[in-house]
Amino acid sequence: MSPRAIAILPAYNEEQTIAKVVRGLREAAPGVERLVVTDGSRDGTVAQVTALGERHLELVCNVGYGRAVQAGLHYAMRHGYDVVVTIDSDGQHDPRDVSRLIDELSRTGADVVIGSRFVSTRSYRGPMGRQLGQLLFSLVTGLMGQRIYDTTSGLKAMSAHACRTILEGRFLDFHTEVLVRLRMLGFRIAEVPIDVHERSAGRSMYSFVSGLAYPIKTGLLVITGMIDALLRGKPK
Amino acid sequence: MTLQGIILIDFLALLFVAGVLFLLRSGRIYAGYAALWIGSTLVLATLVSIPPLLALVTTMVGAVFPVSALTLLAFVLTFLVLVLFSVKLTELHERQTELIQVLSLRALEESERRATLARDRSPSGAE
Repeated sequence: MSPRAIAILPAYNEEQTIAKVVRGLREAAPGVERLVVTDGSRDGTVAQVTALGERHLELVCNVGYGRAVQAGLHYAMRHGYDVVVTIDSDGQHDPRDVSRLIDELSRTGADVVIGSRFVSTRSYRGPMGRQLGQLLFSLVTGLMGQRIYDTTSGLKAMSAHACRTILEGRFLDFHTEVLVRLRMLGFRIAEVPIDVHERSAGRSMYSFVSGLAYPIKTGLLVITGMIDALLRGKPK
Repeated sequence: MTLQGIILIDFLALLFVAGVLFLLRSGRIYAGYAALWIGSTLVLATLVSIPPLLALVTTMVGAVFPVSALTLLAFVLTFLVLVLFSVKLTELHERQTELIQVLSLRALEESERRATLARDRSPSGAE
């Protein structure tokens, strides 16, 4: 019996891409339910999603990527889903990878499967600051006993157990700090190579300033996540 | 510090306290914050008004001049107040985010509940 799965699509001002992503998911992963989290979008994202008849969580203010995902996870856990997949709404991810990630989760028994841009020879080039941060935090995860090559991927599949544990902790960015905490608590994390497309429309949530601030902010979150796991966490 | 300086600082402190009390009376500042500001002002004003006490504090903090000790104390107080406000802002932000999430979750679940009820009541839903 296949697990009951839901894809969470956090969307902030993605009116130009959200319809394509939703249609792609309907076609590529018909067995996976969807929840679009319109994170205080000021453009026509909500109208697009409503016109598509898609289930959506309409956050009245922009609370940021991590908190939008958190709202989606709350919904998924309250409604008894076995697997949660997060996927970006900007069209950079291939909807066909959603099923691949879920299959990998079932096949390997991992708690989290990351759609990784760096695990294979396929190359992805982000901004320099983000690449450096990515490398740094990848090495940090190596110290936890398992190197995770793509700590900032927006495409992840997670078991309900992992989701519940994530919701118990501090929740801000939903990137490296979450993975480090899960790893320290004994959760199994796997990576599957994926290809990503360049953003074709809309604006990235990353700017030059946020690129510089990212390693510092995430570094602090990783440290607090590690302390949290050491003090309050129980081995799985 | 000269008598003229002490009088001036005490006068400014009184003005500041009166200003905070006015804000408190008009409901534009919480009593807790008002107490914090008034308390800090009174501590500094007392130190300025009693030279032997200021001299003692100057020796205790390792400063050479009383004015340096006062500046240091003012800086520490301001720093603590700023940290306190950062904490309060974070708390407010957390509550706001939680509220936004809960509101949206309830709205979605309510619309789903209504849709289910409507589906169950419709003749085709009874199939």
